[in-house]
Amino acid sequence: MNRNTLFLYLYWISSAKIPLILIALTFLSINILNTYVNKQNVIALESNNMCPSNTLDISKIRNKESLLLQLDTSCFWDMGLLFMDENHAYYVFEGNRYEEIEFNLTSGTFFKNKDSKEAIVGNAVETIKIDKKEYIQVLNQTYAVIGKFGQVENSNAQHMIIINDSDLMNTSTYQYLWINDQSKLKRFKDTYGFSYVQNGISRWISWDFVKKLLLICENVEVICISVLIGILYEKSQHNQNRLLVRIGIVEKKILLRNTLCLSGIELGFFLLLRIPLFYFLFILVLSLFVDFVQTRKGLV
Amino acid sequence: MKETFRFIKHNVIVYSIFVLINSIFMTLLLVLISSFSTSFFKQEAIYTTYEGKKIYQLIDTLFEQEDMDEFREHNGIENLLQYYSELKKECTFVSIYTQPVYVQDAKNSQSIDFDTGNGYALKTIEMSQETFDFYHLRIESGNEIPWKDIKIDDTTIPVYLGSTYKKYYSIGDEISCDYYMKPVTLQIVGFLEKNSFVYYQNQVEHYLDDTIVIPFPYYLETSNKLRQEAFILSMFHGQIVSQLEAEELLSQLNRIGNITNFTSFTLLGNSSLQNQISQMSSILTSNMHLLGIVIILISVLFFIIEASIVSFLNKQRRTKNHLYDLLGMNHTSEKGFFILFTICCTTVLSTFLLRTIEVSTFSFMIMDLLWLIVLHVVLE
Repeated sequence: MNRNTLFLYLYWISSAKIPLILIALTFLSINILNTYVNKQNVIALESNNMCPSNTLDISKIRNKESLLLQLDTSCFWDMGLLFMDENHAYYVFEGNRYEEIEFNLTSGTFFKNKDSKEAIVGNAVETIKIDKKEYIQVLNQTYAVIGKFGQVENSNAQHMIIINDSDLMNTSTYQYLWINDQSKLKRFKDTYGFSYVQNGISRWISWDFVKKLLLICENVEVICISVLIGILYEKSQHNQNRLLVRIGIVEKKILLRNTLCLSGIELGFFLLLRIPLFYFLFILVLSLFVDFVQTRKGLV
Repeated sequence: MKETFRFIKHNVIVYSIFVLINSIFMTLLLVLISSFSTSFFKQEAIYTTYEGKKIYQLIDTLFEQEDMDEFREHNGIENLLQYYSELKKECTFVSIYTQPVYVQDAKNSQSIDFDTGNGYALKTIEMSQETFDFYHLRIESGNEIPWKDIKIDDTTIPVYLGSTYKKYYSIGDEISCDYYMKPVTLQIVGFLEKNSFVYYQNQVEHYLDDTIVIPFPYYLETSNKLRQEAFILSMFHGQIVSQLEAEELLSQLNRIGNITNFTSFTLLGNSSLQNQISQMSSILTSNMHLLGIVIILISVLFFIIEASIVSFLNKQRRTKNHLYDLLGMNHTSEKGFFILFTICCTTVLSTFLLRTIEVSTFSFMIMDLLWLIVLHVVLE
């Protein structure tokens, strides 16, 4: 590509002011909405004592062993409140298939095996430091701290201590169960009349519903703006395209030029504003398709 | 009007996209504002309830059977009754307790506390009017419980139900049950607002959505001494809200105890409650900050997006408008009609998206109208 062609491409790109603004703003709005959803998820999780909104409250179960037996091979974890003191809440944790459990830690690692006698603690919990390692004492027993969580300042999670020691599970009061298999989780809820553990922000702002709504809005916005970009880009290039036809440039070359310019703009903003690859590809394909159809129609 | 329709028909794709984008924006804005206001009002409610107040737990020390026997022998019930009435005169006493009611059949499976084998025990919470007012609980529909008319021997008790009961019962319906070992009828007089909660059993968020709220009797006189004893001991469980330090309050309580001859009680501090409240408050503040920033950013972004589309649409009819101006014809009504038509389309679409969020259509339309006017004024 020589210098003159490059300038020509830059001129073509700059002549499409509205599509340029639209692409930038769409990418930015997707970025903002996604960041918001992630941050709100963290706040919701931390105000619900690190329990996802589909965690079951199984405190009233009489025979927990038989319940856990029904879980077969499903990935699950079970957390119980041991006790609360002035500043902290102490929880006991057990699960199966630890490698599949996703836990939102800010540093360190999650438990790897059952009854590892380790602890993960909130960022505001004071630990005992010996030789660059951290420990915590719970009920006269010392547990090595292997991970930390809690991003929201002074949230419930920041003051939580979770120990991986199933021996203490029987002494816990409130007990929560999370199962990876959603259909099993729903069946347990209906059969045993369990309710979901939903405290704090997640419950007050109906976060599960709002999250779905945001996703719908985002997808509709992506579709609308992609079509609009295609239409408006063609409109902005309409006169130039007709001129090019008149001076003898073939339709194929014009379409290629449009495709290159539009892809270039979108790729540039994609690299600049970082949106999920899926969205970028979707916008790119749809806007190029609409532009292709419109340009062909305009050249007839 | 005809001109507007002709214009819309001519630019049907761009106009439809504009309406869709506007609906998305209004939906997002309403959802975010609604979340922001929920956080704001929750924080306000927490401040009003707990700010500057110290909360202490009052419990009796009648743990053993011997203690109970001695309590009964020494005219304990009368003394406790007197103590309770003196206490209410001198402090804010938030009386709250759980006493399950037993029913044969439970319509609302979420409300079951436990299965008794031949029926179910439902989740209930007993409270006094002071408690109801202290926690700023509100009813969504129905009438107020006549708190001051409730007697121990009443066989029909007016109750509030939590919000999850709305699917199963209506106001005026009755539930037959056993309550304090006696068959009674609970008459539904109202439903609590969704997500109503109180501080109970060391939990700052004890939700009442699947709970029956039963009022404590105002008149405690009865010939059934056992029932009276059960009630008064339940009513004695609660929190004292005071501005006094623990020692000062304890000496005040001891003074009342000496006057009324009831000293079988102890006072517990509630430091974990203060921490839980402060944590809840921090979460709400963080949430409001986050929502505030997102609302501003989304508004700015969508304003520019919509302005770009409107400016494109304006460009399409610029020549025609210019011609009208030259001919001295007024075309502002066309613009007004364009805005109104857009609002109607947006409202229909957004109502579909927001069907589970209670937002009045009128306020939605006003908001959209203001938004579109600002948009057009800026572009003029």
